[in-house]
Amino acid sequence: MATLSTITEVWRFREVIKNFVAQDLKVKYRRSYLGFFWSLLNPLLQLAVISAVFSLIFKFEIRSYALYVLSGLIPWSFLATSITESSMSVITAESMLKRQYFPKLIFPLSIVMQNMVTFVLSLIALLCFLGFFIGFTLTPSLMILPLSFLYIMATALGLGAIAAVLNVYFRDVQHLIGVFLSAWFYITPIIYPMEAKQAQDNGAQVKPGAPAEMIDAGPIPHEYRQYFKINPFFSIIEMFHRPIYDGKFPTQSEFIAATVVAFGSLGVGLIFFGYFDQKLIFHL
Amino acid sequence: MEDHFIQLDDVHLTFRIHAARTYSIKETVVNAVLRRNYGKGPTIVNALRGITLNVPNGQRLGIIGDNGSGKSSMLKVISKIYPPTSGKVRYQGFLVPLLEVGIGFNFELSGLENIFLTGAIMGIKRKEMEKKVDSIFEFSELGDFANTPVKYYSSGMTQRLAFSIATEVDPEILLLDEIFSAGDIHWMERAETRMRNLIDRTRILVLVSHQMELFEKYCDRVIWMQKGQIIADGDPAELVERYRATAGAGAGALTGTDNS
Repeated sequence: MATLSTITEVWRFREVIKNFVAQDLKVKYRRSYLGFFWSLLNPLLQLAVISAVFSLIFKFEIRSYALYVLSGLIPWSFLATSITESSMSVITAESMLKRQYFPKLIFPLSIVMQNMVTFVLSLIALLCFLGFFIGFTLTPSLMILPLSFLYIMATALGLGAIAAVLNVYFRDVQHLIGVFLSAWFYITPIIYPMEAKQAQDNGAQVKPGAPAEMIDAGPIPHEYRQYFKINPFFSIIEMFHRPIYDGKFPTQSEFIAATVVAFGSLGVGLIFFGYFDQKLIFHL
Repeated sequence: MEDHFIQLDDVHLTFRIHAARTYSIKETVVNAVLRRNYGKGPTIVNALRGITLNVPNGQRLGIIGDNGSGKSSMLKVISKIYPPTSGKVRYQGFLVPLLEVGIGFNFELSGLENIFLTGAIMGIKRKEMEKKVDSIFEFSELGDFANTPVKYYSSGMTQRLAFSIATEVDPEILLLDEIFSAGDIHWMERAETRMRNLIDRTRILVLVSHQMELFEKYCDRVIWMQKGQIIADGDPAELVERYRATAGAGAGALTGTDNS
């Protein structure tokens, strides 16, 4: 019930959320000459480095590998940034919270929404300008993307809300989150492909010149793959890998897993936040 | 429609104040060895103890009392900043708490942008706020700086903008905590007139202040708080008189911890 009233309160404050999101976006790009282009340049540079290095080490074919990294790295960055920034959001708002009433959920929510704007725009822009050079093709499977965006946003908000509460009680959390997320980055198939199958299908149908190396040496040995699939972020990231890189809809099991993760994180996050909502002010 | 009110029913507010600093490992060990007990467990402060209060439509209520008597806590409970530990708080009407001017100012943003932001925070739609912009800049005399980021404003200018925004709204319930901002004489006079207009517009006023003359000027009822309880309730002139009398005499006995 606490959760329900939290949600109606947030709706009442939608005007404030709109303002928070707009002001953050404005401030972020103000007085930088390239403005929004930094949101493209940043992942682009990251992409260039990762692609160059790993195509050397693993001998991946660089062009399709770049598309693979792009389609996983940008959603991941959104997820990681949203959770990290959300974790600080309630603490940062302390001075405001002591002078006027706000439903506290609007702070992580504004952070997630603001990052969502940048994320969606930069992903679309990068696919349009760069995608076609690295083997991106338009397929019907792209119709799944709005759902992918929705799922990843729900996941980010759920986990961000939990992080925000925990950080109020234990300030150590902000340090742990960084470590935690960078570890999670490496156990999630983002800079390496999970299955040779992905590459194989690709090679057979879409890209004739696909890397033979990837087929033979999927970096993750078969017997360990099931463990990697337990990772809840795996299915969420696959919601982007599949349509953008493979040109296919996610498999049924991936789709079900992603649905469970998205609604699960959001549900648990909101219940958790709702429970502590009224107590937070006393711990700031 | 005319049914504005504030209602507090047996409200308690208890703070558990946590140690301001965490102890280092060395201190923790030393304290454990010497069996000292610094900072163990929170300090409990009973800011409000069983407050029952009805403020009907049209009333101008003043709250007097020493520092730490619970005056500010009362405003913060009414405005829902603090949920009460027990008891019920209800109000009806568009409530604006002016506990401190300049809430939510984003110093990176321009004066104009901050007007909209503050408006949104106070619960005013952008369209309505647009109508108020001219008058806010006119009163604050900051029109030339509308597009300058607030971080380049002097502190006086920031105050003036904040005050002008806060007093431009039309609250039905107004909570005031020592808002009469300082400035040069020319500004002070105008500010006071504007504040009086705001107070006249609002249906219900709750005023906390240490300036006794304000109660006689603006209020028709005063409550006297001491250690989180209401110890007297009545006519402003009479209560202010009685309260002044205690200031000289047993003032020492009345001082509590300042938790406001």
